[in-house]
Parts: sequence; C-alpha cells; structure tokens
Amino acid sequence: MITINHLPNEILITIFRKIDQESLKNAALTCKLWKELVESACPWSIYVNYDHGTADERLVEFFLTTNRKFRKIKMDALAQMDKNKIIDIIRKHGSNVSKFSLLNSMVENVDHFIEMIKCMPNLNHLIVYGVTIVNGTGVTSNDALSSLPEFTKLKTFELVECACSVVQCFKRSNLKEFKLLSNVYETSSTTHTPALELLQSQTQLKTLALRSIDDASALFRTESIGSVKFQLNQLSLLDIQLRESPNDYNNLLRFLKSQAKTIKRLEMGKRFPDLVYEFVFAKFKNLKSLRLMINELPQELEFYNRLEENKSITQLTFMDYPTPNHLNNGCPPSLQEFIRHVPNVTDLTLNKYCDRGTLEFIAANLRNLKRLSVTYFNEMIFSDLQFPNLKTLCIIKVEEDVNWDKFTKLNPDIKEIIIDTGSFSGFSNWTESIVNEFLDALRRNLRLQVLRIGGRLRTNELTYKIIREFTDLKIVDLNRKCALEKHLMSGIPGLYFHDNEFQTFFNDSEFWKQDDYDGRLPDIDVGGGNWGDGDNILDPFDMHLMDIDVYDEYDEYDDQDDQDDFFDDFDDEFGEISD
Amino acid sequence: MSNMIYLQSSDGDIFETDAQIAKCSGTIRFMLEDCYMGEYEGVLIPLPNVNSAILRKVLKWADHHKDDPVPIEDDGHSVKQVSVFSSWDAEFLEVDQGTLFGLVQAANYLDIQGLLDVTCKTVANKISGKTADDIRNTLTTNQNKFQDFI
Repeated sequence: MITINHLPNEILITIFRKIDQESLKNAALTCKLWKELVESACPWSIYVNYDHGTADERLVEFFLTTNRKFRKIKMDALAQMDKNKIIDIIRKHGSNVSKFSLLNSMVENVDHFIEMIKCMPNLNHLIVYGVTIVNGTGVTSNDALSSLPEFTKLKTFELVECACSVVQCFKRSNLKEFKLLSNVYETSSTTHTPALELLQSQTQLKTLALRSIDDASALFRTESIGSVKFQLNQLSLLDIQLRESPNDYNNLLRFLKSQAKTIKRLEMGKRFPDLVYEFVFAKFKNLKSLRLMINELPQELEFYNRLEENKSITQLTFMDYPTPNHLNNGCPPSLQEFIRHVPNVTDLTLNKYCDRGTLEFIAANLRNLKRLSVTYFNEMIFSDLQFPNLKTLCIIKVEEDVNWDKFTKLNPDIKEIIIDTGSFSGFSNWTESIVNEFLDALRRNLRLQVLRIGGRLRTNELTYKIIREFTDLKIVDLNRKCALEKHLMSGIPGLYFHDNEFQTFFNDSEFWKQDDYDGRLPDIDVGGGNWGDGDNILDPFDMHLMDIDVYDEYDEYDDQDDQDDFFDDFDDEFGEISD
Repeated sequence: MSNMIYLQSSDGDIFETDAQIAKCSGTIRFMLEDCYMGEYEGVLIPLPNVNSAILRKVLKWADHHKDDPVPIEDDGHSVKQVSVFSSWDAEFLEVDQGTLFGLVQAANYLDIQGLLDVTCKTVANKISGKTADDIRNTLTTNQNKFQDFI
C-alpha cells in the first residue's frame, strides 16, 4: 500500500503550499523530514518593519541565527535600526535572496546602499521605495561601483519616490522590466542623469513604465534617447511632465519611433500633446492593447481628421470616466471621434463609471466588440442596449433592478458572464427570487458556457435546479458560501466553488502592483480633468466604492503571490515553529 | 476519427483508450508526438510505474475532463483560472488513502497537472486543521513505519 511516505519530496512541498499557516506549523511538528521540507523549501521571507519605531530585537536575533533559507527580504522604515545589524542580516541571507524590497528608509550614502545589494548577487526583483540618501551628491566612486556584481539575474527593477542615484549601481545589469515613479532628480543638473544612463546601457528591456514624473525632461533631454538598444513590448507613460520645450517632445517622439515596431501594449495617461496620439496611431502598427484616459483625449475635433485609423488595436481600456459636463449630454464628442478611429476593438474595459450616452455610442459603433468589462451595471444605463457581437460580459457591481430577460434577449450571443462583487455588499439586495429570475433568464435566452460569480449569492434548491437545466454550461464558478447540501449540487458538471474573491480585472495601471508597496503607491488622479472648481462632488453617482483603492485590496489571484502573502503571514508568527 | 492506443499497466493489463484522452498526460503526449512522430494508431505504451487500479481511475478522470477548456491565455485581464475543483472531482477522490497517494504518484509520473492539483489539494485538506499527532494518525495506518520516519 502506498502511503504518504512514498511521495517524493517535491510533491510534499506542492502539498504543503496548499495548506493554511496554522496547519502547516503542525505539519512541521510531525517529523524531522517534514520540518526540514517546510522550513527549507517554502518561499520564506524576512520582513523587518520599524514603522512604529520599536525594534523587535527578538526577531532580529532570529534572523541573525536561523538556518532557514529566505528568498525575499523586505525592510521597512529602517531609520531606527542599527545599521550594522541590517548589513549582518543581509550578509547572512543575501545569497539566497531573489526579491529585495527597501521601503521608506534612510540610507546614509550611496556606498552604504552598495554594501547592502552587493550581498545579493542572485537578485531577480528589486524594489526601492521612498529611500532617502542622506549624504552625498549621489555620485559615487567608480571603485565602489566596480566592486558590484553584475546582477545577471536581476530582471525587474522598480524605483519609486526616491533619489535616482541608486540607479547607477545597475548599469551593468540586463533588465527586462524597469519602472520609475516620481523620482526626485537630485539636481536638475544636465550632467548627471542616472536613469537615462541606465536606459542607454540596457539591451534586453521589454517593459518600461514611467509614472508621475514631474520633470521627465531629464530623460528626454538628449536625442540619444531615440537610439536606445532595446526593443520594448510594453510601455507605460502615466502622468509624465515634460517641460514645454518642443525639443523634449521631439525626443519623446524619437524614442517612440525607435520602439514603434515592437510595442504591443501601451498605457498612456495625462499631459501628452495631440501629436503623440497622432504619432502612435500612424506608426504603431503592432499595437494590440491601448490604455488611455477619456478626459485626456485631444479635445479639438479637427484633430481627428488628421488621425489615421488604427486597425491593429483590439484591446482598449479607459482608466477614467467622462467629466460631468458630458454626463448628461451623451458620449463626449472627442471620445466619439476617437472610437471611430479604432474600428477593430474587440475587447473594451471601462475602469470607471460609464454613463448611458457613452455606452449607447459604444454599442452602436464598436460593432466588433466581443468582450465588455464595466464596473457598474444597472437598468437605467443598460436597458435596451444591444451589442451585436458580444460574447463576454464582465461586471464588478450589478444592481438588482436589471431586467435580465430583456437584456439577454437583445444580446443572445453572450457566452460568458463574470460578475465580481466579491468584497462589497454587492448582492445584499438580491433575494433568492431575484437570483433565480436572473439565472432563469440566462438559461432561457442565452447559450451560456461560462458563469463566474465572485461574491455570495443567496441560493436555494431552485437555484441549483435552474443551473442543472442549462444545456451548454461548461463552467459554473460560485463562491463557496453559496454551497448548499451536497445532494442538491451533485451531478452538475463543471460546478466549481472558490473560497476567495476574484482578482479584479480592473487596475489603475497594469504595470504597477500595489501589493509590493503595501498599498502605498500614490494614485494617479484619474477622472479629474475639467471638473468644476471648488465642489467636492467628484462623483455624481457616489461611485467611491468602485474606486481603485478598494480594489487594490484584492490580491491578484495568482498562485505564487498567494503563497507569498501566506508565507509573509507565516513568518510573522515564526516563533511557534522554531520553539 | 478516433485514434486508439493501448496502455499497459504494471500488472500487465492492457487498456484501450483514445489518444486524445491519453494526451492529457504530458509523458504520454511526449512519447506519442516525439517517439512515434505523430503516427501512433494502435501503439502500446508500457507504464511500469502505474498499476491497473490506479490507471483505471486516471483514465476515468481524463475522460471526464477531456472537454475542459484550455486555460485562457493571459491577455492582461481575463480572470485567471482559479484553482478550485468541481463537485465531480470531490466525489471522484472520495477513495482510500492508498488510492489517493497512488493517484498523486501517477499524476506526477504521467505529468497530468490538473489531476496533480486536485489530488494534492485533497491531501492538503486532510492535513489542514489537525494537530501533529492527528496528522500522524490520519496519514499512516502503519504506525511502526512512521516511527522510523520520525
């Protein structure tokens, strides 16, 4: 008879990764082998947080003495901590570390920073957030720089709200992703531009994200930005401020031109002149996915006569919503014109609230639309709307007043419906009979194949009877809280239950993950634009719940991350295992 | 057109199965496509690490899941496949521990990711929420063997 002892160690590890932290501690206590496997093979991380000013010496001692292998180190608010101890921890564990995050800390000088990262030659992902270099001009000696390893494994480098001088340490690296957010250039000096130098040294870079940079001129000051050696697949330029000098814009265009052939995904928001849109539409022939802000679209309608149609774009996302002076007047004219220039869009995401008029226009003009993702769905906005080719509908929040019978009769080709409403009281107004009417309308009028619902629905026997009567349904994915007695649900093929809420398909940016910054990443001001002065009624429909902040609390439902969070928690309570 | 192949278990029994179903196994798929260059009608594949009882279960699982949609390519904002398992899988895995661990081993050897996921999750569920003693008692019928192990 085969027992658990026959399973190879890597399978045991796979199993351990599916166990909650409490139980895992007990698993580690069963025997020596299991303890070793749990301790050595799982992705532990060190998290040192001095945010409250108190140093947990016991924790520090533990990190200094344990033999456990750590793949991640995250250090937060280090100003309070003994500098030597930080270095000691990093020296001890550095060689195993693939992800290092340094948050909200003061570092005495660049050399001190070099000393830290020198111990981590296997770094894969580096995050530097809110780090202040206390002394020094930011330039360090070549000696110190040349003592650095080449960081051959470093693929992702995120630098947020801190001095750019640390960038010079990675000139010899070969990055795949580089992200830069609101960096303070030490001086607006013309001689020292470490970020630009880093870009010029890269050859393999595939993803570049620049965000909220008040003086991006330092990057686009020279023509040489147009002759970089890498070819990007993804580019994000959010809220970039160039000085109003035509030269900078020319250099930006030079840069875009150098990347025009390979970029597949582009994110663009705020403060770009019309010229940039024109250029992208004319030259980016391989662009598949474009993310924009409605309120930032060129307002001059004449501009759209010059704009070339772009046939390659199939995926379009708007990160904001129309300003209120448009809300009652239907689709903003600039958006109308814009939509006419992207005839092949099949996948549209409206990250924010969208009004009736805009959706009417979209329904009538984006005839190829197959997938539509919206935050909010109610009868007033959606009744009578007909999307001729719609196959997939994704919604964050649905009101209970929707006449699903009417809607599904008008849109009979829908094959997939995904409703999130995970962490909201989203379905609180949905009684069992509303749920059943909703499902019955889908059953009668659609040949639905996939139905996924994130939040808890009220269900009864009839609910499962209706689900059983769907003929084409391949996947029904419900929250486990909807589960009833087993006999009511057995024999329904493709019935799944999930425990967690869905990951959201709405982000403020696809390029930045709030998780890595404990949700402290500064927001981009979306939906601002031309709002009337003085009043705080930013949102006439009280949509604040739909705001990014709430959604960032979701984890992306990605196995690895899930585990990581889980091990982070586990680490907080390490004591019980090591005892 | 069906493309039948034969699988031979460690006890020598031969199972006839549709190649399309057998191909959910990475190991078999590799053999069919690389060793037989795609011309595999009627071939016999010996599986010395899988016994008849387990192989029968594996084929039953593979048959049930043959129409599973291929995971949607991550195009940025499709909802990622959530690792959940169906009520059918739950019923299918209500088996004694010997069979369960046998299925884990077979899924690993045959490289069937879906089956490996659900079986590992089932084992994980058996460990969850138990004390160390309970885990020892639950997972071993042979106490002596576990003593060695400790």
